[in-house]
Amino acid sequence: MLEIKNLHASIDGKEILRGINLTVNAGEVHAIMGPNGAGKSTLSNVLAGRDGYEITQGEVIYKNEDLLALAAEERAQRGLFLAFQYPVEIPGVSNVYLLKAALNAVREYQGLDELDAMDFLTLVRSKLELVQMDEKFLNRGVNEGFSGGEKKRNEILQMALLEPSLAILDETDSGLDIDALRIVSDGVNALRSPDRSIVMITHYQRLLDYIVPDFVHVLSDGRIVKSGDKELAKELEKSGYSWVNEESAGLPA
Amino acid sequence: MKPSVRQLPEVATPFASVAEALNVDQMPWLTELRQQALKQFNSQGLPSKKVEDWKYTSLWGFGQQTFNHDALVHAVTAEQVEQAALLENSYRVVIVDGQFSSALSQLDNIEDGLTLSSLSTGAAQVQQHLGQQVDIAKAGLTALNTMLMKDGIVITVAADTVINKPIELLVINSGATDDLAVHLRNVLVIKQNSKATFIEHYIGLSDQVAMTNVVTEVVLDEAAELEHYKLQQESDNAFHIATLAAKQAAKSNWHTNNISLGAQFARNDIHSRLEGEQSHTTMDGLYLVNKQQHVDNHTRIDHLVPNTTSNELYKGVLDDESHAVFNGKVMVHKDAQKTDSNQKNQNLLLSRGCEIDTKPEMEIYADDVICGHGSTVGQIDQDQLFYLRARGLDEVTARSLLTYAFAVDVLERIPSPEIKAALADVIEQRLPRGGAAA
Amino acid sequence: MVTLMSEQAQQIEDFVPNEYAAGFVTDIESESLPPGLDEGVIREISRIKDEPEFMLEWRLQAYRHWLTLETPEWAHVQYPPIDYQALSYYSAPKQKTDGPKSLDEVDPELLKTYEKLGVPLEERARLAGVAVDAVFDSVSVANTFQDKLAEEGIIFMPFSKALKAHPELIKKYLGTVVSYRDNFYAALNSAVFSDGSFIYIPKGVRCPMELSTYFRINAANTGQFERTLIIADDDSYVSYLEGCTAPMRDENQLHAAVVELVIMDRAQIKYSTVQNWYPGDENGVGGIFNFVTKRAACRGESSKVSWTQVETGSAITWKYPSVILQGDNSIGEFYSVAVTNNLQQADTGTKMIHLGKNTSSTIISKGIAAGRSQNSYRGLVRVGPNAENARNYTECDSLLMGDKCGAHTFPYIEVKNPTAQVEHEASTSKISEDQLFYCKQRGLDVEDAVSMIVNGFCKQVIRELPMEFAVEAQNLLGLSLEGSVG
Repeated sequence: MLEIKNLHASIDGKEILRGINLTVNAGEVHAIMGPNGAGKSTLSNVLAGRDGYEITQGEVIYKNEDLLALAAEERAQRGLFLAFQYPVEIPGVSNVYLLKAALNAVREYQGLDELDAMDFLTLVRSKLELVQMDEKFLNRGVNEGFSGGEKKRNEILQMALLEPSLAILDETDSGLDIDALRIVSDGVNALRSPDRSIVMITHYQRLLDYIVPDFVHVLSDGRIVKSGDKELAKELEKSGYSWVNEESAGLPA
Repeated sequence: MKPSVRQLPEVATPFASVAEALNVDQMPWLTELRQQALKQFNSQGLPSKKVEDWKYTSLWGFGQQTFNHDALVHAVTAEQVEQAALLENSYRVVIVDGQFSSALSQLDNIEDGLTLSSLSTGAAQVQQHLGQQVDIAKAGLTALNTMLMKDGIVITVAADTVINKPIELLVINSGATDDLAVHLRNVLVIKQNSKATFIEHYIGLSDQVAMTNVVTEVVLDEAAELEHYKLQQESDNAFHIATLAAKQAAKSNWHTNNISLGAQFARNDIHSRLEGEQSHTTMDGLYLVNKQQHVDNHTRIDHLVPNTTSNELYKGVLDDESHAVFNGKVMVHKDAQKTDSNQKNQNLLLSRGCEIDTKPEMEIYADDVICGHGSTVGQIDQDQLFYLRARGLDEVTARSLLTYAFAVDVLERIPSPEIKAALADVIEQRLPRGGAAA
Repeated sequence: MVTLMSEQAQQIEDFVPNEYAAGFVTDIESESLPPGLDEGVIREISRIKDEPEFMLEWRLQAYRHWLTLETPEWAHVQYPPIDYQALSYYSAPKQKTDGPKSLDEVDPELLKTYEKLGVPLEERARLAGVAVDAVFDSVSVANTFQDKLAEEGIIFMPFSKALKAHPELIKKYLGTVVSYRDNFYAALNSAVFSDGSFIYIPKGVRCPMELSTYFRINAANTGQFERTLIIADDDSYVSYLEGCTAPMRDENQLHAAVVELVIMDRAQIKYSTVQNWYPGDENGVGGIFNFVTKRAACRGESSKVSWTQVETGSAITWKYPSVILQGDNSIGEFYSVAVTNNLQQADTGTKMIHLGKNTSSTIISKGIAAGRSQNSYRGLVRVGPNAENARNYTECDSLLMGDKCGAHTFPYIEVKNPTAQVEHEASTSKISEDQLFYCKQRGLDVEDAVSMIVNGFCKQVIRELPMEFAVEAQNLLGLSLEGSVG
């Protein structure tokens, strides 16, 4: 599904990612953990194709294509979905319009016809249930005036509708209270399937109690310094990130 | 401060001879009015850029152009009119190439209390109001309009009457006559406790050079309400000059919405005088310009008595090498206490080469007031653009959508759902990738 | 309740101070040119000052250009036409030699004058950290700390002296920021200017003390036309202060100054003004006509200029300290408090001209109008076609005290580059009855409450002033800070 090889990326001349290697196969759930400033958000932005990052070395293969050569929307149309850490507010564009435009963009790429209004609404309603969102959210501006929890649920709603092959969840747990965390996690778990991969990026172990990963990686100073199964996350919780940093201090640069 | 004006006799002279011809069959008071205007126009000419109100807009190109005042026979069909009209269901008054056409108009079953007539037949009815809301001495083209006005619409609404059906004045330039100049005068008098909806709609059917110079005078009696729309879709080679002026009695409400899309050169002067307590003005506007279009919106609100309110929102989208000017003046006169006024002008720049000049102004001579204005210039938000692209929308569509989202604020404030929807359609078609509304 | 309200309103109206403490006249013998202006007068000024030939030539060019100009009429101020032939263009205290070498030689009357104005010229006195140039009518009468500054290579001296000591610097920079062709008053100043301060901060030098000029108009029927030129070379920094006062006289007096600032790579100038020229009496009789052209050129990359002004004086203020942001990443700031009372008229603001890439500007303007005064903000933000990523933020608030005054806002925004972000906001209001009631309920009397609210209103600007000036400015605003700043 996704293969990241020796990825180096910098912003404004400052190197943030310093040689990432990661392979994600279909159906797998990976968690990438790390302290602030480790490069977690840079990694998700680079994968989704945000402007302003310079790729200095390495490559990313997604479904046998050079991911880095594609525009942001081309990646999205090919099933790569980023659930944003801070979803932006877009007053004047209704949520339902965005959902429809996004779904049709994917369908067009897949060679499918646009859904008619009735089918579309039926589909959206079924997905709303999944994240326990009220229908009135559909007619509000995208994320406009949404609470932190509502924004994150809205991200998962979009994911449910777009049915991506690879979902990157960037700090999806941040700013959520325990109830909202449960709703969001239930939504994500319902979307787990053998042909869908998920990469969760998170600072805290808490999320992993709800969405149990197959693999856990520790990102520090722009590199993955340790990989393991979900036990690794528990160890991190106990000993903190400094433990990993000390352990990896001996690694070659 | 004396306005410095450019003498342009070579401009004035051809117009003057047209004015002479008009005087033949006039009522004496109207002849008198035209003659005063002619005198004024001859002495002041066209304003130069040294006049503060014309600082960013040059009439040089206008002055270079020669215009034709005699329309040839046109051949506009009912179907074309149907297609051009904003609303299907309305009282429709159609003016083609400067002349009222009763055949193309749709004036059946007029409600009680409403009178609709063309200027040529209705002028006597509004003698006391005609020419009262505008100043021919003010630098601009009002004097020219006054000496040459030929047709237009006169609307009166009797007291205690609500006119439910909107009135659409459809002004069409057919393109049959080269360089045609059209001078129109509209007068609306809404009596107390009455309500009406009026749409001025200007449209060109060809890319012919043309001039429309229109003055619309509005009188709102006590507790009268007017929803007043102006939609300008003239040809890329047209000169459009419009003045809207209203005087408002107590508790009256004037809501203008000025949408400027067409013409190579468009200038709007919109002026409200709040003369009665608890009167209110909403002045909204949207200008979408591209290529080498020039649009200049000058608004002015005079708060003359205590307890009046105003609210203004003008938004602009500038593409290519277009140039837009906004000048909004709010004047709170002495003793106009408890004035509450808010004004906003926001601009979105899409392209290298475009230019915006914006000047929100306040002059305040009373202390117990809440007045504010804001003005912004910016571009499409990169985070929003990335968000949409990360959801699979291509860049052109995403930009188009964000542009629409920027502009739609102005439409959101429209009270009538039917007109809102019709205008939304018009705006969408104007965007690089239309059809953005949900 | 009704009477209480109006009483309260009256108290608010009375609040802005009317007494003008700096209104005394110094009794000193002076030498003045007779009233009138022609080329002969200009030659005479130049001769008295023993100027180099190029200076006289420049003055004459400016004068000839001035003759072709008309008085500008666009400002929101009204005054009777000025008879330029009725003014004297040069006045100086009588001196034995061509200028005092040390304070010992300065006329004790003059020292007393500055003492009374709170600007002691003794170096051991209170303002130990501030070097002062004292300009009395048309000439500089004292200039402190010159030796100490010279150690750092800093030049800080009266303009007329600099013209002899550093003609090459003056020739290189004079008129390059404000040309004599710029406007009517700049042309007049260029023709007849008498003195002012000249400052040069060499590369890499951070000026160790505040530099300050204290302008005093004393003689009657005299115009003051000073000229200030400050050059901050690469990587240098200077903070400069100016103060202005004049006696109370029934005639209007003209003050037409020009200030030019040149800021090179990574250099920074902080320029603070407390303008307290005589404002005229409560009937609008007398007072200074203050027509000033101040402009800074941010020529170097990452250069920065910050104008802070507290304008409480003058019958008429016509003043727009501006910044030309030529250097990439350069920064311009304008912080202003303008207070008008009685029949004062102020039309003041700034111009920010963005030309370089990544330039940014901030404008914070606070206008307070009382009595029958008129207080206008007039500003221009211009973004040129090549000024990529220009940023401007403007906030412009007015406070009205009483229903006979006026507060006006005239901002011009001109943008020719699609990457610009410009934001302008303005508001006008009075002190709300709710705010006053709240303060009173907490035990403050009206005067303290108003003082506190006004102080809060101006805070963003006052805090930009150097400490000594902030105190003076607050006193001028009639504010008492004691325990009331929230």
